[in-house]
Amino acid sequence: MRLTAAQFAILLALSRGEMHGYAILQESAAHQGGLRLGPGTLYRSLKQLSDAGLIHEVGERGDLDHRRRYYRLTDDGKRAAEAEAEALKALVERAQRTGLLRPDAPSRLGFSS
Amino acid sequence: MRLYPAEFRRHYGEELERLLADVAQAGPGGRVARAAFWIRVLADVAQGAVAERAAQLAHPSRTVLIRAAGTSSVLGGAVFLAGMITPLRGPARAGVPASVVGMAAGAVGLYLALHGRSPRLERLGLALGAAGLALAFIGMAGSALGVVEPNPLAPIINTGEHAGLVFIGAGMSVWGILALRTHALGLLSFAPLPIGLLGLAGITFLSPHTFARLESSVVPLAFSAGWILLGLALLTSPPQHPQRLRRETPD
Repeated sequence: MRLTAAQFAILLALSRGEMHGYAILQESAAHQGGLRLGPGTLYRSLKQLSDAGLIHEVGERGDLDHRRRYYRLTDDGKRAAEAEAEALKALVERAQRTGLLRPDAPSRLGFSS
Repeated sequence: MRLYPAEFRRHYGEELERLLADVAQAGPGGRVARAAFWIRVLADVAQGAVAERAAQLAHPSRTVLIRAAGTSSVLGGAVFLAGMITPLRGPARAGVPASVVGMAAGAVGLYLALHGRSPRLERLGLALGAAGLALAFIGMAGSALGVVEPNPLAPIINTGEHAGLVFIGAGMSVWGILALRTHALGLLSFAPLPIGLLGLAGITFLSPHTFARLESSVVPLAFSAGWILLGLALLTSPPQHPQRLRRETPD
């Protein structure tokens, strides 16, 4: 399964451990080159990843007013994220070799779907 | 939220609403920045809803397929029942094979509703049902070939059709027990059992006299009504979700 940017961002965030939806949004905004997932994109991507068996829900936690559903990477999800990272790395290296991308080029990413 | 398909809303709606509340709290200050922020957020939510609807149309979910199979089963059972009460004439006779297709769709819908709950029982029910259909097909093919009178294939036709009915009954009984054990069809989880038990009653074909009595009783009517009940059970069964289903599955 070829991942979209949003799906990859989610897998990347979950590679740090179990997270709820809002934490995934914050994680992708803070640590992934400013990639900001929209809420609609986030839950649509979570559903697709869940249907594909790349993530799974590990139950709800928190107090009654702030109960949140947590998600975890599956082994297949980890493998898919690694494969995607390798593919992206190869593309970036190629872009750098052809001069399309400077090694210090800043990232400018908005909402991704 | 209403833009999203019901199934998506049921599973993620509450979570998405809570996340929007969190996003609202953490959003930027200033009226213009806030307005721009919300336009982007709402556009993203609306785009997600439209994309989810489109995806559902392109790849109907298991729940949609189960509902469609339920409708087919209700219609198939009703036409079959009507055909037994008032023999169909002329072009309306095409309703009989069409009703059989509708009832077979009901069995497929039941398989989809049970899928992932117990692989062994699922496969056993499928093997018995498929064997029953194959035998019934031999019988029907025999009927088509054996139009001459006296029909030399009559014993094969009858044996195939009747044994097929018994195998289908056995398969439906296995699936019925599985549905009941796992509450797969909600309140109507018992629905496959009447079809299964009535199908098993076909074993009386070993005694032609008893089978003839059975054929002229209310049993065939009840058998048809059973498919209507199964269709209703599929239509009102709890919605399926792959993640939820995996969690319920012991194996």
